[in-house]
Amino acid sequence: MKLATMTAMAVGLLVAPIQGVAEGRLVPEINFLTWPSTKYQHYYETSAYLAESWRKLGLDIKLDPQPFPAPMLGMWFTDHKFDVVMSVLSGSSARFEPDFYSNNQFKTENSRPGGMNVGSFSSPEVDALGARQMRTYDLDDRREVIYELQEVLYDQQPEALVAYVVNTTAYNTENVKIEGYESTPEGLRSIWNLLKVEPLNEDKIVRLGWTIDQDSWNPLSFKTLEDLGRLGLVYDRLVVVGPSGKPEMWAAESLDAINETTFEVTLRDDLTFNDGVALTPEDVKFTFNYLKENNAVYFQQYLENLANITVDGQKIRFELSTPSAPFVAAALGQIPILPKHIWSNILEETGLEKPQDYRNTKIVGSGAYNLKYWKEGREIYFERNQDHFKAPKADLLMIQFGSAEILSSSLTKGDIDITLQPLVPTVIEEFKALDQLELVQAESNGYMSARYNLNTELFSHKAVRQALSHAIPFEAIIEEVLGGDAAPTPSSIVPSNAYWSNPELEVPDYNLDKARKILTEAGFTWDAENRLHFPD
Amino acid sequence: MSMFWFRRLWQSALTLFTMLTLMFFLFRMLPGDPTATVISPALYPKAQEILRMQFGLDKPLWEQYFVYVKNLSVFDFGLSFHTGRPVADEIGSRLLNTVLLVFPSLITAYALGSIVGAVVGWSRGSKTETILVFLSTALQSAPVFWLSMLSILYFSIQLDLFPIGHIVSPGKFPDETWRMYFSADFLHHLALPFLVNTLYQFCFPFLLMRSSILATVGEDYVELARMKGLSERSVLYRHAMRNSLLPLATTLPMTLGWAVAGSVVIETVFSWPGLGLLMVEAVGRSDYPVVQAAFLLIAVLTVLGTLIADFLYTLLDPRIVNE
Repeated sequence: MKLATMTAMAVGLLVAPIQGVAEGRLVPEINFLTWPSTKYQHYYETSAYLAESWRKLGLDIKLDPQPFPAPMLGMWFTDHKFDVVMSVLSGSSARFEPDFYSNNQFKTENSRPGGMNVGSFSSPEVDALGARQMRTYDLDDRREVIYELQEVLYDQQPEALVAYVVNTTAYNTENVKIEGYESTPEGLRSIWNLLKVEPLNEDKIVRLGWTIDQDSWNPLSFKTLEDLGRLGLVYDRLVVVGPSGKPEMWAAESLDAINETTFEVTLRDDLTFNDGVALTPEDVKFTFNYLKENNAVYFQQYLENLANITVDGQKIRFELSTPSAPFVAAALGQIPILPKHIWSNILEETGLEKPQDYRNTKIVGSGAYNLKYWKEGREIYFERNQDHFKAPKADLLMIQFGSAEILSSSLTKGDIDITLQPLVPTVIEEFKALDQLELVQAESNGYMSARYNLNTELFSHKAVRQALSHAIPFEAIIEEVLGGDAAPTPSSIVPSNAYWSNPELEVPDYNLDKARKILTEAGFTWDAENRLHFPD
Repeated sequence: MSMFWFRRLWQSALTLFTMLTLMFFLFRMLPGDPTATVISPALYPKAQEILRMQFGLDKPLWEQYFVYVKNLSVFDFGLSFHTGRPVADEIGSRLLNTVLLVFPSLITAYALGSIVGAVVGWSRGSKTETILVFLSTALQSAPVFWLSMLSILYFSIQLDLFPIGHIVSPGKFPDETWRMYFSADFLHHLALPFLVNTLYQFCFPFLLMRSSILATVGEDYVELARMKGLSERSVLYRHAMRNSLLPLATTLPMTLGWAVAGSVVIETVFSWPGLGLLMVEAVGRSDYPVVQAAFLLIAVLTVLGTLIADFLYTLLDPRIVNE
């Protein structure tokens, strides 16, 4: 590869002066908004590698590192103050929902401030396919549309895709057994893996180390994915997104799409809250209405489209205002089913002003685990619910650590059995040599890319975007910057999202010569100093 | 109350007020929109709007400031941006852990530091003095996170003498918090961070006492005590040391705030769920209300410490009030 790269570069340099006299205007300096190098070295370095490569094509690139989160997030999502931005989006099972990284990121409507289409990309074809997949409920049919959507995006290249991250975590095989580990974005934190964790000790407790504590147990006011993950242990959901990205039945026995805007869910009849009260369709109806009426911070966006819920025996009918296939994974797959008998009179019971203030630390839920206690900043104890239809094999004791280094040491010492914290490359090497540790990988469905601002003249040229897709030194970035813990991707729906990622697409090769050819064909020229000029 | 005390109290109040005003605006002067850090842009726009209103971030800055000062006057520190809970609760739940770690080690360090400093200063030129002065200067210059990490590596991992961190063994005290503080398990967990902190805090009083003693060695009253035929020990402890205590007595209370602020690093490395760890987390997620309240607490402790130092000074040297 190195030889090929160098040859390509040499050819590129040779070709440049022969390109002839530049005709059009000089391409102005490009502002590349990126992460601060001190705290986010990997991200900054990735953008530096990209910039270096693009400079070879005659672009004048200025890296603009800004403190994160402020002001970077504002410049990125609200003000769109960049020509290119180093985008790093984290993964989660909820983001397996294929709409999230495709239509949601690239539909014209979402280019308003605060929307996910930060580069103001706009294509009637993408919008049409995006709308079509929203109405297509049959999973396989929908997949075809999503494949097609990815093909159009592949041709359009609205962003320079770099890689998706692979996180490595570890567990101690002397204390726990995990049969059939699933490589989900959350890795060992995923409920699919936690359910499989089998303790080899007598007391059936597994000790897991992490550096992130719970912020809120209240389904109305929590904001983070980490909080949601742990709420998913103590509450049931109707469906749960499976390891391959496909929604699997959970509290729902079956799910049917009646028409474009109506779903019918049949609820299991063996569900009970941990206070002994049975979970009924009325609880489901109450939950969705309650979260919507009280503007639950996290769920509001999914519930706005919900028009009406009716109950008939064990059947629950959801009526939507507009067709939305993502409703299944995003709403049914994330919303925890709350007990009506607790939440309907929470204000009277507690004397609080609003339900958002309720701390909910004595959780009445029906999930696979009961929250036995939460010692803020120290530990969380999840007791296994042996009567649950997915009865776990172990109690989970999540232990809070102040530093990731100490957490790793605790695992080698045997003070904890599992680390939920991704390991850094140097620790991975050290751990590989230890017999008692088993390393497991979690392929994220989030990814790194450079998003172009299509409101700029340069990036409004499709040829430029296509050319730059051959100027991404992804192999060097993955090996040298990311320590090998990443893989390239041809689509924003990355290969780890196995069910939805289009397998036909190929990662564009790193070939500066090809890039130059595309630019030349589009009429771009270079001057004597190898600076790129617009077509005449 | 004399004019002196009136003036000192007034000055302290003014210092605190300036401090809280500065803090309020400094945090908000950080580049960019402070709301962007509180409210994830990935959140749905309507949800962002509701949060902004809930935290009063939709109001102009000066109005936010007046609300802040007004609330402070009734000890209302506002709501944490992150958890949405009252800041007083957040800090209150962590304060005791910090106090238990920081104050005993501070007092031990000062007691030990002054005695060892006096003995060493008294026997000037000895090998012990050279070694101790070198060690304590080195220790004081070493970053405390590095000291903590090394001590964990050696004492916890290699020798397995102490736990790797935390306040008690996880899972051991599920129900009652109070019982936890009186357990051997707690002391076992406290031991290593306590030792590291004590060692670190020891250097300053040690060096101070040593140089203070050196200054008294040649004093007439020391000479006189010797001439009276008192033992060397008695000269040191009853005469020289007593007179050298003044600088120590005044610096001890002044380090109160400093000690709490210094707990940040130790608590992070030892996963000690105290105020320091809370501050690290809060700064990391730009949780201004929590950070402001924690900084204010440190400021209050420092100002209060200075007042106490003044008071001690007036006891030890009453001339200061009259002048």
